[in-house]
Amino acid sequence: MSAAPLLEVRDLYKHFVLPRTLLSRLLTGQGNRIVHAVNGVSFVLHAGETLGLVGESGSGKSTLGRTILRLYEPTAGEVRFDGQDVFRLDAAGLRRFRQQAQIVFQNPYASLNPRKTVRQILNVPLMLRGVPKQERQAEAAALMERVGLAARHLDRYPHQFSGGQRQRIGIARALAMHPRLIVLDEPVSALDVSVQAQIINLLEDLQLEYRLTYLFISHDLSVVRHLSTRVAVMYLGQIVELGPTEPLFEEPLHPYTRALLSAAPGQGQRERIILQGAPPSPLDPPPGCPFHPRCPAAVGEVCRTVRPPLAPHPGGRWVSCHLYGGLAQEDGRVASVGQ
Amino acid sequence: MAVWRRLFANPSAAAGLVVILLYAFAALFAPVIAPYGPREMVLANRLKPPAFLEGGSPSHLLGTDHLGYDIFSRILYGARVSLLVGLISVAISLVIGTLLGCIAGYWRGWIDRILSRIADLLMGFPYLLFTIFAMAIIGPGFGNLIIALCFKAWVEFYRLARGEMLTENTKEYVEAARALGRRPVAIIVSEVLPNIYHSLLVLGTLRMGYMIIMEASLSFLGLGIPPSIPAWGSMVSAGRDQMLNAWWVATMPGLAIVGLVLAINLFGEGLREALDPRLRR
Amino acid sequence: MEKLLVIENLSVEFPSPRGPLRAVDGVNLEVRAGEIVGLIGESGSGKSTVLLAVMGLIARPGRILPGSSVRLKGRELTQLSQKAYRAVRGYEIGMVFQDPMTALNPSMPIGEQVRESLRVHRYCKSKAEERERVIQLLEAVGITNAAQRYRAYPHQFSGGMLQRVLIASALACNPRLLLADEPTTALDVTIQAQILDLLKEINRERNTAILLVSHDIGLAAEFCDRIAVMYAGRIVEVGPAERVVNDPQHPYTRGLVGCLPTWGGRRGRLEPIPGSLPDLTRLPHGCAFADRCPLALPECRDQEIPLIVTSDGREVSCIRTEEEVAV
Repeated sequence: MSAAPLLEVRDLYKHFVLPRTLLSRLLTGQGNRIVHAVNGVSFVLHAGETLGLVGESGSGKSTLGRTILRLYEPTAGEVRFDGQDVFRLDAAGLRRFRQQAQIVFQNPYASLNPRKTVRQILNVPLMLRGVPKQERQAEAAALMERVGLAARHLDRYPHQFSGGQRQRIGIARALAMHPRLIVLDEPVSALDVSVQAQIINLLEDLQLEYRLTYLFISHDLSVVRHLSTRVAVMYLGQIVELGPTEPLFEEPLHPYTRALLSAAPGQGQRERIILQGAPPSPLDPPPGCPFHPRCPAAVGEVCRTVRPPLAPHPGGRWVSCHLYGGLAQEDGRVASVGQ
Repeated sequence: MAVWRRLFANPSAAAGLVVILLYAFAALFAPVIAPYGPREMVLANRLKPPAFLEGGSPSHLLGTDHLGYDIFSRILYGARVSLLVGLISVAISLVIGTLLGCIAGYWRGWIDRILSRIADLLMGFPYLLFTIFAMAIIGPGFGNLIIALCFKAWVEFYRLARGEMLTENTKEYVEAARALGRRPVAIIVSEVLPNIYHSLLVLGTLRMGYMIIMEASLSFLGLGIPPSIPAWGSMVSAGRDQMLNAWWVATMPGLAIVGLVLAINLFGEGLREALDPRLRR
Repeated sequence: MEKLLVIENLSVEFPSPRGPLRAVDGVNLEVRAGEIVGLIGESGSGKSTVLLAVMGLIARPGRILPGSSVRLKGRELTQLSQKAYRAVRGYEIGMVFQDPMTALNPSMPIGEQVRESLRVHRYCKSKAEERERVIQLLEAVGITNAAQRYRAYPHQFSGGMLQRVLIASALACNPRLLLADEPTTALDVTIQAQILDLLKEINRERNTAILLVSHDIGLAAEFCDRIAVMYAGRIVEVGPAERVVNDPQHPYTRGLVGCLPTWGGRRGRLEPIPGSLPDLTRLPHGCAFADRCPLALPECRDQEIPLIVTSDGREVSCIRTEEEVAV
């Protein structure tokens, strides 16, 4: 894709400060605790793509999605949407950005206002987009039909719908803004398998029809594999591998990706790589490569001290691992995948 | 709505509402219903017993006091004072408290810290003492009474509104509204308020009984309402000296107070129960 | 292989405002010694209720209907008193639940919680022996420094470690059968793999049978020997795990597998199952899946559907099994 990317993320950091009480600070001699949720993330997203963001708990994928939309203010870094610096936008500019970049949440039960009818819920984005009052009824009805719900249910309340239906309403709400980018934060994780399939099909259809770009956040590898054109694997707030879906799944490069795929049921009969040690906490990320304490292929000194950059690899792939960079070769270990 | 149905299924709440309406009716139509004017003094008829006691007559249903005022009429007129004071002071406290609570809860930061400190400070004072103190400073009068009552009362609504706002703020539907680009004021008013107003309403209803007792206490002490306007509290106070020979002078207005406050509390409790299970869906 | 657990004609009902709700309807299932059986279904299928029934944990006003039978090593469990059942739970049957964070008591050291089972069933002769056994169990489930960790509290452990503690607790009295209700659903994928491997190891080394309840048919395919698929309280298909998933016979199982991104339409379209669950207070006499089934015939709705045994040793509750249907 030679056109300018729709979304550019550069060295994004998001840290949450857990303040310690004065007493606690005096007693322990330590300052505030910091959750390094997003710890230096860079990638681009082109229009029409679906980028799957996978990771386990503590990987920071949800925080990343929200920070990109500026639902959290970043600690450092830059996000450019359509060339504009998102974090420098003024109030009006931010509202315009929001119209173009929307989000669908994970929990269908909590993301809709329980005291509002669906009509009122859909009214908000329509109003914000500037749709005149007379036309809102028709648009709301059309949206309902498009996501597979009956327009006559517009005056019902969220609790009268099932989980899958509520998720459709959430999608309709995001769609009502006519966005170009939609961040989908685990949109099907809370649903039954058969309902999941319906929503996935719906998302696919909508993407084609409205020419949407998706950032699809999920821990479910099979769903990600199905929907994404490219996949980014996150670990402890960093992207460890990024690349086109099938090559990544067929031949994962990063040791964490290998372990992750071997653990997931249904990804082919791989040899199981068992990770030792406890899963990490973003409160205390290790120095150097974030994965080195559990990595079965760690080479030693360099992995412990130097954080590997996200380096390019043939085939449009990127890996953040010393095994694939020049540094590792000094120890005598040769990068396994051919150049 | 289902809420009303559930409310009326509750007998004590329904009874409470009926009684409240009766009082309101009495207050509204006092000039029409009352057999005597509020300041109609007939000294010859002083200390007449109520109609149901020996020596009483139907012309003075509840007897007369030491100045010859008809107690029944004065109770009717007194209802106006009590209900007005109760309603207005609750309304003002609720509005101020909710406004400040929502602001503090949504934006947090220094404004939250300052407001919450003020609230904590005010909470430290015992209510009656504080109100007396305030009245002593700003002087008597209907308006001043209401100001004094509201001065501390808003804190309760502030706490509740702030707490609810903090809770709702973490919920995803609020995050969704932010993601759509709604302005903060719109989010507070249009998204959050419809989810929290019911608990504020319940608190308001329950506080109203308390306000009325406060008003009665103040007029009992001679503060607040000017003595020329009949108020239940001052009626009780005036009747203190007659307790042994004409007990009805103090007791009747006292019962009026009890009746109204009890009715309000029963209704308020019923309201809370009716609204609660609906929320725990 | 001996039949360890035999569930016969199990039906469980719960009262509801619209009438009695049949959560489990005439379920037949066997677990043989040393076998791993998966009970798979979506929400509302009744799978968890089956486990609860086996454990005797169906709380009033729910009830197991007469005519139901649950036999453990030949012994009928449904008629047992609560007291007698308590002797069974933990001793003959071990249980592992879904959420390790809430299943353990936050104010008790984990060693004590594992010991609880030993104490109640008087498995050991002395306190010292109990403690010794607990440490052995903790080591067996992969908790290093077990002796020191004995006194640690649940909040000091991660989800995966807590699940190991739960498993240790379930294995304390060396039961022949382990019941697991979605034991890995709350865990990350890599941890899930560890826990499943641990359970497999326990199954191999101690010949402990496992009855696993899950919504994840993919997981079950890799982990279980046999799979039973449930729909609307009934079992629709039972058979060897690999066969059921790779060559599903019942239309519901086919639909379920067709929904999955890996087995179904990878790079193609997923095929969701149209319609929704039937009303469990008004289960039809015939097949519960008929309204959503692409192969439904008029007879499907009227008659009771028998269990057909296929040539490759499966039981399918569909009258159109083994037909040459162009699918």
